[in-house]
Amino acid sequence: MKKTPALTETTTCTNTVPATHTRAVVLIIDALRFDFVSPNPQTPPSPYHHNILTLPQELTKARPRHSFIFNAYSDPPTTTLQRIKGLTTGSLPTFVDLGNNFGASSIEEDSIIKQLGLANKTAAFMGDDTWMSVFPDSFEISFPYDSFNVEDLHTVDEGVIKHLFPLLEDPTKPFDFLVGHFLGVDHVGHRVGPDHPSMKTKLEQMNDVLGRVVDLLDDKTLLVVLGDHGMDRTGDHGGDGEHETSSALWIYSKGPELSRDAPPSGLLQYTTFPGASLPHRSVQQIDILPTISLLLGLPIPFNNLGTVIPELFWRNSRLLEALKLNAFQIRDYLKAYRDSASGGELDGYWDELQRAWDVTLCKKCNTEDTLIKLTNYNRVALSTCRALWAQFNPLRMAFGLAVLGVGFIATWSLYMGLSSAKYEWNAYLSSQLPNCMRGIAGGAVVGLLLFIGLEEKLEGIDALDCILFAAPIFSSLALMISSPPPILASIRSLPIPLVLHTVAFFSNSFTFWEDRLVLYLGLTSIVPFVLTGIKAPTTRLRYRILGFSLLYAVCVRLMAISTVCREEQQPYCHVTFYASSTLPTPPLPVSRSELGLAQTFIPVILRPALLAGSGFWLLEWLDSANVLGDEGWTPLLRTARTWLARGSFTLVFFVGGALWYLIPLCLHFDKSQAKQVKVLGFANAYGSSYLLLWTLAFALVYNASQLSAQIALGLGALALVSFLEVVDGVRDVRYMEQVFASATPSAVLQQQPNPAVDQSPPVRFADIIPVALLGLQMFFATGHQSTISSIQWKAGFILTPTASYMFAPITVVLNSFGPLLLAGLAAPLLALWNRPPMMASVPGRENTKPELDVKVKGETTVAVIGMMLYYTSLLIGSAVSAAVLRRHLMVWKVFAPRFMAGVAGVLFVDLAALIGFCIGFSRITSKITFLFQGTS
Amino acid sequence: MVNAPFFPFARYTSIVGVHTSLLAFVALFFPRMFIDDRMEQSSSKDRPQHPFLVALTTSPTITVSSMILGVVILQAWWGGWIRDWLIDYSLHGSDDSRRLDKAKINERKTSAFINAWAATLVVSFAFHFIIVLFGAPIFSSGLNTYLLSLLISLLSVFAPTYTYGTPSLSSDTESMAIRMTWTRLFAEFSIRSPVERAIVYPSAGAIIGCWLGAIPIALDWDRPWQAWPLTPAFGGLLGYILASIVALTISAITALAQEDIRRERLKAL
Repeated sequence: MKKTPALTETTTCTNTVPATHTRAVVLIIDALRFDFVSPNPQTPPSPYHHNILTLPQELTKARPRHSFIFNAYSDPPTTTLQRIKGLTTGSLPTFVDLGNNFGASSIEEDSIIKQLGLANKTAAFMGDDTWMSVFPDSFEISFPYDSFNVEDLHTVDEGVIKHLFPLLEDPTKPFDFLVGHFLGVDHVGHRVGPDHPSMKTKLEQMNDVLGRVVDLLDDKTLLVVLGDHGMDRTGDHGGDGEHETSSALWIYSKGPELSRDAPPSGLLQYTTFPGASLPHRSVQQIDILPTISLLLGLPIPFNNLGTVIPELFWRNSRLLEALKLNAFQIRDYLKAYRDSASGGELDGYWDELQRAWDVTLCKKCNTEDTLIKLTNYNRVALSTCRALWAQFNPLRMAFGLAVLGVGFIATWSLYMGLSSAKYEWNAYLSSQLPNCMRGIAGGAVVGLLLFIGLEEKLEGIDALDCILFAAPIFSSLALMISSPPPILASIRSLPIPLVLHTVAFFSNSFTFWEDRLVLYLGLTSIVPFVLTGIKAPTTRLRYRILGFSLLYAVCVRLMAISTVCREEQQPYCHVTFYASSTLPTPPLPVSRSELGLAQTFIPVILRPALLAGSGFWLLEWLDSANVLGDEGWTPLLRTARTWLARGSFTLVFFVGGALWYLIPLCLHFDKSQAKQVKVLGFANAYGSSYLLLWTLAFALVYNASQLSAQIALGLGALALVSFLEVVDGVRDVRYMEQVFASATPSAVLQQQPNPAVDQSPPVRFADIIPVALLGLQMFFATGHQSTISSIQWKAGFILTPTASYMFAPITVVLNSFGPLLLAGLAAPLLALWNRPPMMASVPGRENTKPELDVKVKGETTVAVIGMMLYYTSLLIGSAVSAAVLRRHLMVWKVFAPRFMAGVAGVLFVDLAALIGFCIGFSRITSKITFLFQGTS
Repeated sequence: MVNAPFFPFARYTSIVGVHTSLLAFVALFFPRMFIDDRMEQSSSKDRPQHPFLVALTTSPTITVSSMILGVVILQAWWGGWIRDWLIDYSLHGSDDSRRLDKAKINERKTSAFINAWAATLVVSFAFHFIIVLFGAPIFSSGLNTYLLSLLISLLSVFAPTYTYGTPSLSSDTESMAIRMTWTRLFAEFSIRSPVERAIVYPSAGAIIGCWLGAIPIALDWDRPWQAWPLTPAFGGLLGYILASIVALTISAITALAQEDIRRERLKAL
């Protein structure tokens, strides 16, 4: 994947056709989908967004030679910054540029704005301030407004209206080119979706504005109204769905006629919008650029790949002239591209381009043929560039996959090694770590040598890349060789859910339906526990395991009800996530009766924080659904909920965190009887303290999630605790079986006076799978999918009323990947839950001093590594599938986004697991050691 | 003489053969009695399917209902036969005393038969709940989900309950014994005789087949046979048939091997 090459040359010659208009007003209505203005939208039409913005269709009907409506295909990524770049330069900004939406960089390439400057024309701008970051000093008149405040539906639009009409009415004609960018439609889409009365109000307002603009236009001014992209069914955009790429384009010339009659049909393309009964005339969105340029008598910008729209030049022989200019411009661009540093990319396509060019030069052809051939050349150039800029570097991909694969096998060896080392984990690690270190050092040297030796052949890869590639590979290989994973044992205990889950990414269907797949696998992963529960030797254990398994299953199933559907899941999926967001029933998650710190912790920190979290989103709902019925409440509600959120985040993060850090134990010392000290809560000293840390993280994620997501998170927490009980019950059963199988079954009955050796069975990979799947289940149930458009940008405005580059990313990340963070953080609980801090010596070395954490530390490490393994395996599945299927139709829609979600998943799970282990676990251990080491 | 365990090899083979063929027949041809197979394909017309499949996919409800109808009859017969086998297997002594014991046990045949049907019905509701937990829609297509659970319950629950009795939570010796047997067979999968294998394998096969059958539903192939609950229903039936054959094969090989060992020993004497 690469960026569009930025050729910064500018068209200097003044080749153009005679202008029909001297001025132009370009009004961009963000996210104006084609069907919003279409004369025949889908049947039945929506009452909220169809046939409301009717001015374009009325004028087209009345004056078909002056007014034209097109379905314009906007190239993905359908995000505003990329579309502005595309519209003004006629080029194809790529997927990699997507992240730039938040730190937009200015355009260096030639653009219509630059050409206006060269022609000494005055450009005016008002609206979305993204334009100002792209063209910081090209507009002589500008009124930018903040674009990222999605909650604000009106400020930008009212600002545009306020400044637009005075400029239009001004008799001195202060501008030659005016860009007005309305954001209201887009914000309504993001906030409440297209099927909402607010959308109707917004489109009515836009219709009024357009009516007034048309009235004020003079005959020499061209009006262009367009959506920069569309929106999907939920009102979001960013991807390449049909709804997102179909944008509206309306061109209106009040004065001169643009078209005599219909141009030759060979030049015209038609598409049918989903659900519409008739096909409609379609163009590429970038076609607007050469069209407007020539209508205004400007040269076409250098990088343009669009083709003039035939209808607008179909008079005399103007079209032939315009198309020739257009094709020569594209030819010049391709030549310059070929001569540039990255020109080699064109080699494979050059012959085809040349052939398409040669046929346009035929002398004998009639005009219609020439027109078709010129258009064809332009389109071949466009499709070549599209194919080229979606290019892949196989070498880099192979490097990446090799690092991932070898890393995974090494983690697996580490997991197996640590599991089989049991009590000797410390010795095992200290024997392995030096090897890994040597591997890193050796790998770095080998990488550098590799680079020096093969520098010519490694195009686009520098020395650092080679070192970063070789160091982890060698380190992992060192671990694999010194501690090879036992292949037979691994195959015998092959985790079926993980294998199915990883393989599933090779099918687009299973990737769209991953939310259901996770439920199915999650339930499957609990089956072995249920079977163990049935054969449990005591009735109490049996009921405990079966009951909590059932609770886990029911919680997970209930969570799965909440979903935002992917576009591809239609029509078999119903969005339940936003619908239920109006149910104000915040669940208070399990407050298991813990003692000590928990007695103050739960009522003082957790409960207010969770209530505040729900309160925030209730206020947000009141505001967005206009329950109070008056706009006057908005600022008050906004301030109230901002401070509520700030208070709650501070409470959890600082007060809760500090409290936990200082007193992490949930023990209660009862000294009421003089003779003895009762220690209550001893059996779960590790688990309950760690759970408190987990609930702190939970409260943060909870605060960053919307109301229905909060319900899902509550269910998730309940499922987690039930599963911990199941694991503990099953561990007891396994322990009993182990003892029955041993020579002295009566040992189980003995009150061991000196529990020198802790025999309880270790954590298994099967224990980790349900928690890992629970994390993904929470991810889906909190209204996310592995698509870019499902990111809930709303979450960026929790701590501040307008987007702040410091807090917005934190809350958006907590909102999106919080569930995975919680899963990663929960991994140590599998090893810690109901493990009393027993003093134990290492078996075989009973004479040595007993240690407290001899068992739990090794097991916690194993659990954490197991969790990382699960997510790494998913990442490998999605990475290999994205690499293998890179020419698949749906690679940008399905496989690449899942790969990106996989990367984020591994990142956040690993981060959380490390925090859990390094901060959570070590703090608890040090406290417990301090408390008990001396006394026993 | 070394006592050989009762293993009716020839009869077992022929009955499994007939039983599995009839099950396949029921699944593929019973729905045709109720649906005209010259009917037009009703959905996804751009992907024409083989005319044989049209009758099976036109109405999933009718297809699964007619399968249930056939399976009820076949399972009643199979359950009776396997129960006889188990009784013969567990009785010892002279021919006369065995015949007497068998008659005694068979006095309770009717009540066992009724109890087995009742248990099958009760378990079908439990299966419905479990299938919903695994992701079937909670409210919509409830009838189809229930029919699937009834079918799987017939395949996996009827024969074991008819032969071993219905497990209950009461604490008398008999129900304790029944419960222990069930736990050993269906939670620990420890199988000690060919007859146990003939009971446990097909039941487990039906459930695993049903589980695997859910997988193709997600594929975006837009074929009529992907309609709920056709794939898990056919998967369950196929799993049952395959597991029956596997059980027969394993039991036969074990029996032949034991027979061989016995002969070798006799020769050595």
